Amino acid sequence: MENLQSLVALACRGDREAFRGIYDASNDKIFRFLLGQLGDRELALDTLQDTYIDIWKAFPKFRFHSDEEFWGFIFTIARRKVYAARKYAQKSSVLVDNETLEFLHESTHPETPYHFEDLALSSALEKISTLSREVLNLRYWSDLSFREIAITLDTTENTAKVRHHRAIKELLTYLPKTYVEQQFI
Amino acid sequence: MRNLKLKEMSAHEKASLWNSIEQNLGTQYKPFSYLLFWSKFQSRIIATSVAILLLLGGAVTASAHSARPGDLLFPLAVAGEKAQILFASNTQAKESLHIKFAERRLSEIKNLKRAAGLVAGTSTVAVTSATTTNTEKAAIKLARAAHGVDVALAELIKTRNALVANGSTDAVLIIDDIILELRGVGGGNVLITRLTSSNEKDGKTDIKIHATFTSTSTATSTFTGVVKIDEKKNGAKLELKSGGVKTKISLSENKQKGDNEKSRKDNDREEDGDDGDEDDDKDDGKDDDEKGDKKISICHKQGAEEQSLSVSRNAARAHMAHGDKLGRCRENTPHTPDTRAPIISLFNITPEYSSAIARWQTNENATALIWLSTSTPVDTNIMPTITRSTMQQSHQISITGLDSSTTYHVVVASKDASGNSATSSERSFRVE
Repeated sequence: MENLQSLVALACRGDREAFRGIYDASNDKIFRFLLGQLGDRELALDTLQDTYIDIWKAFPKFRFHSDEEFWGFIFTIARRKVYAARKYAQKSSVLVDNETLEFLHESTHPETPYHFEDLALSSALEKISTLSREVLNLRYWSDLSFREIAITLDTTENTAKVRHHRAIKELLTYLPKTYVEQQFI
Repeated sequence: MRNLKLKEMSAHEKASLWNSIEQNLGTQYKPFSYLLFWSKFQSRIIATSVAILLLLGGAVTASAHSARPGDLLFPLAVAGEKAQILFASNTQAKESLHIKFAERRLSEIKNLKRAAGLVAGTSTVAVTSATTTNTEKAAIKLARAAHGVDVALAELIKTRNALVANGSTDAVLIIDDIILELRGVGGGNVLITRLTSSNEKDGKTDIKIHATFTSTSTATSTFTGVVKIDEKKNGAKLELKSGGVKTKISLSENKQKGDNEKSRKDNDREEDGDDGDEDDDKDDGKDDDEKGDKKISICHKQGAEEQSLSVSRNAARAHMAHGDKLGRCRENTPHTPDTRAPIISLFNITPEYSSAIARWQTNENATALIWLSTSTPVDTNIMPTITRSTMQQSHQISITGLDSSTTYHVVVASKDASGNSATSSERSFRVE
């Protein structure tokens, strides 16, 4: 993507308008990944902001060679921010009962029952391991290729494919049988 | 999974988030490069190192600071002075420092001469002779003083060349004075080798001479000159010329100051540097004061106030000795606070696919603020949707992530450096 390359080149030299272009081109992808990983919309928005600030700071050290490497660079930073946000959330977590949680949820998002409409799938996604959920988020919500996922996870493309395969298998074990039959058969 | 509907960010959320991100971007981190750093700051690193050495070097530093020309640590003292000059904020301050250090050289040489038992000449002609002392110790002191004169002169000539290269004419004139005085203080003998002609008129006698000047060091200079005797004023004046520089020495008793340590001297740089007799004749016809009357601008300090003055060269040196600066004072225009708000003009919005571009002009450099809303009137009391802190007159801001088939209302504002702000009227546009 020639346009992306020129935007990155300008942003690396401190051009804020070019960085705005990169933000426009990437915020949806990163936001979906963060939301999928953190499961909290407000936290995801905060983390997204921090992610872009870190990307801006790290840009002078980045050299554009390919789109895959660019997305790998972006998502590596996003991934680090997810870990930091989780750590922070654990430290500052407040235990609330289900009734309070339901009330809070309805009062803040009355029009949306949850982040996903498909409750069976969202429930299964919450149960699988963090690593599997990460691979699936990157693959399906952020639309990354296996090469881009491999760079993000600092591994090989084959390993990324294997992890993805295992994640799908793990996800299927948590989905109701009827759901799987309805969706895939 | 791709078909799952996540609650995506709205256009307003995206715009607000970008606004927050932009405010926190700050300056980008630049990877550190030793080579780049060295090439860019080489001179300052060296100067800073010398300055640190001078500040923290303890005994060495103290010794260097009090080193006199010709001492082992004198180059270190000079390096410290150069560091000070390098760090001076402007050309005026640099020139003042050059002169201050040149005066210091002169003072050091005077001290050296005093230590060697040589009193600076009661007039420049009546200089002391090396034969006044016979002891070995005195001879060593004398040789040391002579060496100091040479070192100090070499340093001052370097300073003069640097100032000439920078075009600092006034500073060069003062340095020339100091060099001449230093040569005079250096001591030596003037030997009149030949009387070429004499002219007597109205009680005034001019005697043209050839002379050699032998300093306490081994340097010997040849001069042509004229002795002017004014019987009415009971005074005499000796003018010597060499190397493009003319020295005038008053020999009259009533004009000498105090203990005669300092004789009046005036010098003019020759136009062509030629010291032939023809030029002497031409110069002799001119009034001394007319030639030596070039005024120098200085910035005179009086308490907290500063005042620009035009003074003679000798007076300029005296002024600078008590902290005045060479050159005119900076104009202190009274500060009138800016209370005028910028004027917004040519404000328009161009809708595009899922975005729009807002353009407007301000009559002075100002920031840009945009409030975007789907409802009207737009509330400008809340945080702006987009903020650009760059100060400019022509504003063009892209509003992205807009929902299609939606009518938006926009208000823009600009704030100048003094905090005066102007707000536009509300505009509406529809994204198709």
